Amino acid sequence: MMGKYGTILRTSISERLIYRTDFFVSTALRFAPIITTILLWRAVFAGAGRAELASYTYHDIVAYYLFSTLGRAFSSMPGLATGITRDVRQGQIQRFLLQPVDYLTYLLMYRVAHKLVYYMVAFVPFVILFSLCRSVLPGWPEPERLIAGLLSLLLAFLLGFHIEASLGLLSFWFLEITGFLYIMMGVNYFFSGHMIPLDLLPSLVRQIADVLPFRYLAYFPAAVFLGKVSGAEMWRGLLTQTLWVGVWVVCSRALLARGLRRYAAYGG
Amino acid sequence: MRRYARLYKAFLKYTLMEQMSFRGNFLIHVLVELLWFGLLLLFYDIVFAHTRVIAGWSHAEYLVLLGTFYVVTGLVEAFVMPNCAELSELVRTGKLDFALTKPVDEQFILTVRKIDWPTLSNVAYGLAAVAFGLRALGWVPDVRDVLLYLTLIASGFVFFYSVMITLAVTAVHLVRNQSVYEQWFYVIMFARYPPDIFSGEWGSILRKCLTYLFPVLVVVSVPAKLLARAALDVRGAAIALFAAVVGFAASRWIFRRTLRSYRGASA
Repeated sequence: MMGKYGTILRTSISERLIYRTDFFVSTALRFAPIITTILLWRAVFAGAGRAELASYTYHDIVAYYLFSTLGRAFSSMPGLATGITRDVRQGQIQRFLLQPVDYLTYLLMYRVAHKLVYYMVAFVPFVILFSLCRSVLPGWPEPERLIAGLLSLLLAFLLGFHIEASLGLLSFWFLEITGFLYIMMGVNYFFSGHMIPLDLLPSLVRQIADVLPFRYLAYFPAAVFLGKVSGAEMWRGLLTQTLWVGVWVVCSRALLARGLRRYAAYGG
Repeated sequence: MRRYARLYKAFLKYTLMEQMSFRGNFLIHVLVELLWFGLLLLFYDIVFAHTRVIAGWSHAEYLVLLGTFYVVTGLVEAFVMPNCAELSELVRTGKLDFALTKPVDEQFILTVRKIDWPTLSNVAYGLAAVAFGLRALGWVPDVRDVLLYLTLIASGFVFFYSVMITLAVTAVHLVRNQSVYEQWFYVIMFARYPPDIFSGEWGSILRKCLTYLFPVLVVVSVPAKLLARAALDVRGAAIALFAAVVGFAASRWIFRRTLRSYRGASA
């Protein structure tokens, strides 16, 4: 059982390494926006003339953006939903009806390979970035926090995957979902805390953000590493994150099962 | 010249008809652009709730800057980007041959033929933000400033056109795989902020590079300052105009040279 998906993983890894140079360059470039973000917030703090905004010091904000970038590196799934749409529309998905390979597990393995290669390449820029910003970081976390943080990153990956896969599977019902995907991208960008730390939002918007699953894609892992949540609250957060993963696993499975029942394949 | 005007009118009409035939899609596209613009406005609303100025720019002045950014980039995204995205596809499929055999200038037909109409809504959002900003400042620009503003916007447009066309056409040559929209994002990233945030040891080096070597900081902030503060940065305006003229000439030269090495695939 493991052998089959292990092969998919290995093949996907070598596939990702075909466009090596391109991949290195675009990965390095992806870190550029963090420069403007840091400069902008420095100007904001200088303009406000205060040491703290909503319990965040300037150092906290910079560290927050570094950690939320790390969270996004786990939870963002570029091309997953559009890939599913293509498979459904062009009938590629038939392959998975004939072969003894589960479609979602295949996609998950492909994504794990994609991410592993990405981390191999992104490791160097991440290390440089974190060591350049050493002075603003809260220091090496204690074991409990480190474990919780790593767990929340792993869960962020699973959550991001299953949300995006569910969106993609909607193409069994709708011919064109790119408009919808762009809207979700905006919602995700805002409510995940990628745009701005959720603590800085006006309280009503904050309350909405707190009940949505998106906060676990970037804000929560960052909050754990930054020490904005601790102890029982931190573990409760991890539990909620796990529950959200469960909800979206069930959701994507149900969509796939129902979608395949609707799906009609011709020819082949 | 008359022939080119007539051709361009046909491009405008044809692309609009094509895109309007999927009305639902058109509308969603316009709404998506509005959502992203709204998010950006919300971001600065939240930030300005905590401070009165960012690097010397008040909220109202910032709206003028952001609006100007949206006008310039909206124009490029509507009129230039779809052509850039198409260029590598034409090479790959060998359809470039058909464009080259037409009795018109190659750069004309390859870089202005496609227009992304729904994206043009960004220009309207940008102008609305500029108008709101000016109203909050309680200031009405005179005709001279408006004309100067439009000239600077045009030179910013030409600058970005030159950069993107060069990137797209050299991608053909170098067989790069990175999407042209991703490159666009990195080209304009710095222009969205006031140049004054680039201060300090590293910041000022970056600012010099992005002012003189690759003037993205200039092409949006100079027209914005002209309207928001009624102050013309003469040196900045000169750089913007210079960048447009030199950029265009360079892009034309590179475009021609690169196409000459294209060998065709269909014939």
